[in-house]
This record gives sequence, structure tokens and C-alpha cells, in this order.
Amino acid sequence: MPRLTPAAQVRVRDLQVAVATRLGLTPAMAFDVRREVMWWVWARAQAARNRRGLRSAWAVGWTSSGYGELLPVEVPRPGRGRVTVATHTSAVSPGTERARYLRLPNASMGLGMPGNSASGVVLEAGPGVSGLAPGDPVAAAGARHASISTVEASRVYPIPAGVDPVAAAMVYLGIISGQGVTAGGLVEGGTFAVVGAGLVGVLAQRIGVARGGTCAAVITRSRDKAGVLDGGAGRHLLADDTDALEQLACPVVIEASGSPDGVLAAARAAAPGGTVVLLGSPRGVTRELPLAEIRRRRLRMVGAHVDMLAERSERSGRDEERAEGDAFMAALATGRLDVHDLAGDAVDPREAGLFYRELATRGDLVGAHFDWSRLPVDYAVRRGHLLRPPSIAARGLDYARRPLPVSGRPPVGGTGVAFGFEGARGKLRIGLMGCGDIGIDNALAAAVAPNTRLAAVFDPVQRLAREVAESFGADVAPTPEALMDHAGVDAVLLAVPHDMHAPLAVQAAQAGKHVIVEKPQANTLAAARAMTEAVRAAGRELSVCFPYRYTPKVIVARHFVEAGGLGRFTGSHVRLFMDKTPAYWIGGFSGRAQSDWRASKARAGGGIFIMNLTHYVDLVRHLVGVEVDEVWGSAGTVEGATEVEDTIAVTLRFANGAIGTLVGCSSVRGTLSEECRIWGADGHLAVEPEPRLFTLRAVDGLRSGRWQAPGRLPGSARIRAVYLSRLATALDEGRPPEIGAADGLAVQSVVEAAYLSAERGEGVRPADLLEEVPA
Amino acid sequence: MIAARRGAGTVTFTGELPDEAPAFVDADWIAGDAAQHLLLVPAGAPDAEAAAARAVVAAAAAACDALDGVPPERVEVHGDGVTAAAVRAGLGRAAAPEAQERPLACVVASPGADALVAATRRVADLGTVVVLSETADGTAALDLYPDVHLRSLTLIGIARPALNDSPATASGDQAGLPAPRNAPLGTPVAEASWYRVSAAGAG
Repeated sequence: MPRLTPAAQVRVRDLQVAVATRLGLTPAMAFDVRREVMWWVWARAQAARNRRGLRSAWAVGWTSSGYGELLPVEVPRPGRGRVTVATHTSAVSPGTERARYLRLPNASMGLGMPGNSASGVVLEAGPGVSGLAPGDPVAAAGARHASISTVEASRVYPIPAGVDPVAAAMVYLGIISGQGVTAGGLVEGGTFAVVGAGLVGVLAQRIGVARGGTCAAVITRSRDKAGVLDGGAGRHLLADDTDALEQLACPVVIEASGSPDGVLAAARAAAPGGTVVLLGSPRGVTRELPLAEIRRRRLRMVGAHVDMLAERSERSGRDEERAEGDAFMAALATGRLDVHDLAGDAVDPREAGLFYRELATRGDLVGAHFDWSRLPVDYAVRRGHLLRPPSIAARGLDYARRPLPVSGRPPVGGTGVAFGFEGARGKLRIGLMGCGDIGIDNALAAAVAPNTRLAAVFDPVQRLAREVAESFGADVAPTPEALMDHAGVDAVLLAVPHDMHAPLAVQAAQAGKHVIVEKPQANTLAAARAMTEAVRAAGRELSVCFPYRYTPKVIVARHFVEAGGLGRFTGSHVRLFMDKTPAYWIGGFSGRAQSDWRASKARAGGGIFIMNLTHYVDLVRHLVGVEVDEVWGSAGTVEGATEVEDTIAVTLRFANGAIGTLVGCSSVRGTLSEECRIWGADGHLAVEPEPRLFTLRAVDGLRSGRWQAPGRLPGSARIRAVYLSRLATALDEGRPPEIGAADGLAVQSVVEAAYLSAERGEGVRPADLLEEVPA
Repeated sequence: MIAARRGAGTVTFTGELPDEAPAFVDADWIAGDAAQHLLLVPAGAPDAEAAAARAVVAAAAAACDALDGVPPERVEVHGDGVTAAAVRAGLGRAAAPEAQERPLACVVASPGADALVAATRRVADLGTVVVLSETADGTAALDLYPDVHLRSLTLIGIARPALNDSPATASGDQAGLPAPRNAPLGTPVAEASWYRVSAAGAG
């Protein structure tokens, strides 16, 4: 094909982007569509060859760069001379699969469907197949990492009695290694050495010994001797120990490391006139192949790739692969070969993506296998449809576009999860202090919750107090003291300017009341600490109202984290853009209670961070259970005449090393815009703007490797009522509140640290502030 | 090792020979700007040329032996030097055949890693490449995967011709080798399949 000019290449790319944009595809989605089409065509081509239909199953696939997952796949039913095997175990070939996953040189992704060696039971035998019946335990060479595979009957081996199916699953790896030993011409009683101690290297050792050879040495680059000599080798030599290698003088040296330089060590270790077998696939150019040395010592270098067995078979007139496979199974059956320790860890196929990340970074991983018996029943094999069009929606690959639905099963699907007033107990009588916007919300919540009641209200503007009292059947207290001393009040709920929280909380506690305070706990950390101590001294409880915890999507997210979907918490991001107009600063969002306290640094304690972002500080803590260790902040007032910041950027370093960011601005034109994401080593969740879950773990109800939406969740209008109800239940049962003073102080210390950091230009540790502030 | 500078159809050797001993150089041993191997015959030794020819024939015979079982008509010999010629003679033909299909084996005497790569690409799957090639530093940068490994080729190293390896009965004349071209040091001479390099004025 003629090579395109640079200008033409740019035009082609523009066209590709335009088509993808028109179809709503991101690059990752486009890649997946290409894979899906390839698999779709492949399945139908196979079905046409077999003249049979398709089965719908699951297979491990590499969907885009560095991403692996369990994917739906169609597998042809067996045609003449072919067999379909239901997989129990598929063995991982670590070197090959690592190279393909990492796209190393000389390793193509192919169809992006890894695996070539498995065991299971015969599901169906095609015409002309004898000696294999449904239910027979078998090993299958060429079987993918899939719940079922259809392969030629000649590649299917009955598992002899007493042979572990997990060991038998390594049949093709045994064939690969065995043909390498054969290519070396090792004779019984002969001596050989192996370069490399990966799975194929160890198998070559053991197979050579099983055939009567003596493995003089294993040669590796690493000094780590763990397991290196388990195959019966006499010595462990390092690849850079030139003298020792030259003294080895082995008639046969099998290079199985796959390193381009492995052949150098192999050539050194070979005796004059000896044979070096290139069994491992070199992943790159051998820079200094010692031609002069190879000539001087008259070495034979024999390439041994398993794909050439077909050609060898044509020339020899016997099925060379079958012969190697039979020899492997016979050696297992007679006990001359033991590979059970090479099977490695069992991997849930749903965690394939996670496994390949581990495989990519763990050079010491010798063996592993996928355990297909771990798949839940909804991954069962089903009938496929030849006329099914390819699925080109690429659903679940992008956070924002086309998420998959959660299957609807607990713990994250909604069913059985408590979102509301389940288990409510007691009857908490609440005295409401402050009848502005948020006061009305709290009055409404107290009325809705089944185990709370609004008993009395106070507001310095008595008209506001009367409106609320009349609406909810509460008493009007003429003074704060009257509310505090009201005999029908168990807990005082503070919905007042931030600077009033501490003095009123102290007053309520001294009056013997529990204290419920709107977030933040106070305008300063010192004030928060003072009110905490006062409540504690009075033997009462203090709870800070962070009602977002009871939003259904947050409850789902918490279940997701608890189910292990996130793994080790590694980061978070919160963004909140609002447009607080001049009207807000003198009357809040409704203008119901006129006051300019929100614009005062002394009264409010700050701007968008303390007023709004504190919800998210609590939310992240709540979801991941890790405290903030250090805070870096940059804040300013870029618009208007307020004392408090309207713009802030905060970096959080959590105690476990995770890094979080919060960005807020209350001077952004346009509609409210929120984002809240938390991610971990194994997953990622979004709470805002839309709840989404992504995990590489096997979490029931979720499909790993795809973004999923929890589906229809209850509304969040009554979360404040749920908060009050849960608090009332806790108090009734004599338990501390779910959101207590420790939470309030933790958030308050982060707020204070952010503001101090912005002033000082250095990181501030919240824990230091908590120590510094007098109790 | 002595320097070898190629001109238009000529080659000029420069440097020094130990004890003014004659040195024989195969045209294929000239890799880069030097003769990578010298077949040195001790000064005063009788019939130096015959001794060198025996060494060349011995190396060629080793190469032919390495082709165990490969029909000669399915072997390609790559190289312009006297060793390549001796291999061809050993295989019973004067020149490489017009190849219609991939050879089952290649004997590669042409210098440089590229010649080796070309031979591995040329030979059929499961084929054999007999290596007589010289490179400037005795090594080659080679991706062994696509041909040697994937297509399961066999590379067989054949030692450089050396006087003590050559059986006394072998005869260059009997192998039908051409006579080497005399190449006094510093004097341009016409290209040939091999050279007898001698001190300037030694003839």
C-alpha cells in the first residue's frame, strides 16, 4: 500500500475523530467497538466453518491499552472433529501474557483474547469425535481464558485418574516446554541447563528431568533463589557470572527467559559443539549476539516455537503436538512430573483486569490460573444467535456516556439496602433554634421522621418563629433561654449563624439538652472544641448535621466501598461551582431571613469552603474511613465585597498517603456544577454529578471493568429527616450519634488548616491544630 | 587484523604483518574497513598457498557437514569469497541456483549482520542457516524472534579457517579453488575471491 503523506494522515485522523464524535465514542470506546466487531466476525467465521450455531459465554479480553476484563463472547458449537469444553481452570502463561498485555516487542495482542491452556469437562462433542463424551474431564490445548472453548478433538486430552485438573490445565504449557526439550535433542542421561526460572523455564527443567536428563544448572539474572532449584537443577548460576557459565559446558542449554540477552548466557554455558534452544520468545533485539563465539565454539542455536509443531508434523507424518501433550499427561499420571506447585494463585475471572496489572508489575509471579467455578450463576453459558448484530455501544467504558445498569442485587444494587427510616425507635423532641431557610428544612425533617417531633422553636424574629410553629404544631419560645429550659425538648437543634453555634450549644448543654448543630460545627476550631467539651461535661450528646451521608447514592457508594469495590483508597476530587449573587449575601437563597452574617469572616468563619465544601470533606472521610493528615490551601475573594473567600483550592494528603483535591468557587456564572469522585487501587466511584461505580474487583451485582449506574434510587429530599431519625434511634438505644462531635471536629480542623495554609503558604496538619486548640 | 580500503573495483590492504608472514584473506572477511580474519602462514613455510587452501576447504567441508540431510539443490550459499566458493564446490555446483522456492538451508559467508538477517529471512520455516559471516566486532544486533525463534530455524556456527584445523590431505587445487590474488601492502589490487597479502615489495 502506498504510504500516506503527513497531510493525508492528518485528514484521515480528522475523519476518524469526526466519525467517532458523531457516534459518541471516546477513543477507548472506539477501541472496544473494534474488538467487539473482531470477536463478532471471528465467532461467525468459526461457526460457518463448523456449520453449527453459537453459544454465548464469557471470556477474558484485553479491551484497550492496559485494560482487561471479563467480556461476553460467542463460541461456536463444535463441528466435525471438534469439541466444546466447559472450563474449570485455565492456566496463565505469565511470560507470554505479560508481554502481550504490555505490548512488548514481538508480542501482538491478536484478538485480545488471551489464554491457550485449560481443563474442564466436555460440554459437547462434534460429529466424528470418538472417545470423548459430555461430562468427561479433559485438558484442552488452545483453549482460551473463557468459560467455554471449542477446540479440535486432537487437542483434547482425557485427564487420567488421580491427576489434578488444575495441573492438567497446564497441558499446552507442557507442550510448549516439552517441544523445547525435544528440539534440544536431550537424550536420556544427557545433561542440560536452563536459562530463566519462569513457568516455561521451570517446566522445561522438570520435563527434561522427567525424560531422564540431568539439569546441571538454572541460570537467572536475579540472585533470588526462591523456587529456582525446585525443578531438580543442581546449581543456580547468575547470568553475569561469565566464568561459572563457561565452566558449565553443557551439551544442551535451553533459553527460556524471553530476555533478548538470555541467549548470551546460554551461549556461554554451552559446551563446544553444543546446542542452544531458543524456547523463550525474545522480546526485542539481542544487541551483541556473539557471532564469533558461536562460530568458534561451533554452537547450534535452535529456534523452538510451538507454532512450528504443525509444520514439523507435516514433515514427520505424526502429530507432534499430540505426542508432546500425551507425554505431558502421561508424566503427570505416573508421577514423573509434578506441576501442582506451579499453578499459582486462583484468580476470579471477573478480576482479570486487576490480575493483569499485577502480572505486569510482578516479575516473580511464576504461575496463576483462572478459576471459572467462581462465576455466579448469571454468567452461565447460553444459546447464542448468529443473527445478533455486533454490540457497538461500548457501554460502560466512559463515566459520562452509556453506563451499564447495576444488576439490582445487593449490596450495591438497591434491594435490601436501608435508605430510610428502617428500625426507627424512640421519640426525640426537638427544640429548633433559628427559623431561617435551613431552620424550615429542619422543622420539616423533624415532622417527617417517624421518631422525632418538633416541640418548640425560637427565632429573634418572632414572626419567623410563629410561622414555623404554626406549620408544625410546635410551641414558640419567647427567648433562647425559654427554649433551652422547655420541659418538652430533649435536643436543641441549632440552625443559626455559625458564630452562634458554640455559645448556644454550651447553653443548651448546661440546660441538660442534647445538641444538634447544622454544619459546620462552629465558625472556628476553638469554638467547636469549646462546645464539644461543654456537651461532654454535661453528659449529653452532640451531633453535627451532615445529611449528605444519608443520600441514597452515598449509601450505595458506602456499600460499594465496604464490598471492596474501591480497594485501597488512593485519591479524591471534589469540585463545587456556584453563583452566589449579591442577594445571597444579605438574605441567603430565599431572602427569608435578612442578615449579612454570611459575608463576615468573624461570624461565618469563611466562605464557600466552610459553608458548602465541608459536606464533601465529611463525605470523603465517611466513605473511605481515612483522616486528613495535611492540608494545602489557596484562597481568595475574587469578586464582590465579602470578607470571606469565594474561591478556594485545597489539596488534602490523607493518612494513608492518598491525595485529594477540593476546588470551590461561588462566583461562577451559570448553573450549579458539582463533582465528587473517589478512587482506589481497584476501583472508582462518583457521587456527583451522577452516581457511578467502576471496579476491577469481583463484586456481586456489578460487572467488573465497566462504569455502572445504580439505577433508580429513592429521592434525596428527606435525607435530613433520615439523619434526625437515625440520631433519635441512637439516642433511644443509648448509642452515640452516627455523626458525632469527633466528626465535626475532624471536618472543622481541616477547614481551619485550609484557611491557615492559605495565609501561611505552607502545609498545615489538622492534628496539630487539634492539639494546639485548648480544650 | 589489517586495514582494507575498497576502491572502484579494487582493494588496498595496509598495516603490518607479523614477521613478514604471508596472510590470506577471504573477500568475505572484509567487514567494515578491516580484514576481520587473517589466515597467517608462518614465514618460510613451504607452499603457503596450499596450506591456506586446505584450511579454507576444511571450513567449507564443516559447513557442508552441518547441512546434514539437506539436498544440495535446496541450499543457498551467500558470499563472494573463496570459502563460499569452496562450499559451493563441496555441494557440487559452481554457483548459486536460480531460486524458485525458499531454500531449506543457507550458508552465509557474506560479511555483516545484515547478511545474516537476509539469510534467516530467506530460508524456509524450520530451515538451517550455517554461519560463516564476519562482523566488525564479532557480534551482531539481531532480533531472534521473527525468524530464528518463531520459524524455528537452526543457526550453526562454523569456526574460522585455521591452519591447524585443516587435514593434511585436503587440497585447495583438488577443490578447484581459484588462486589468490597477490596483494602487497599499500598497493591497490583488483577485487578477487581471496588475497595473498604480503609485505610491500615481497611479491
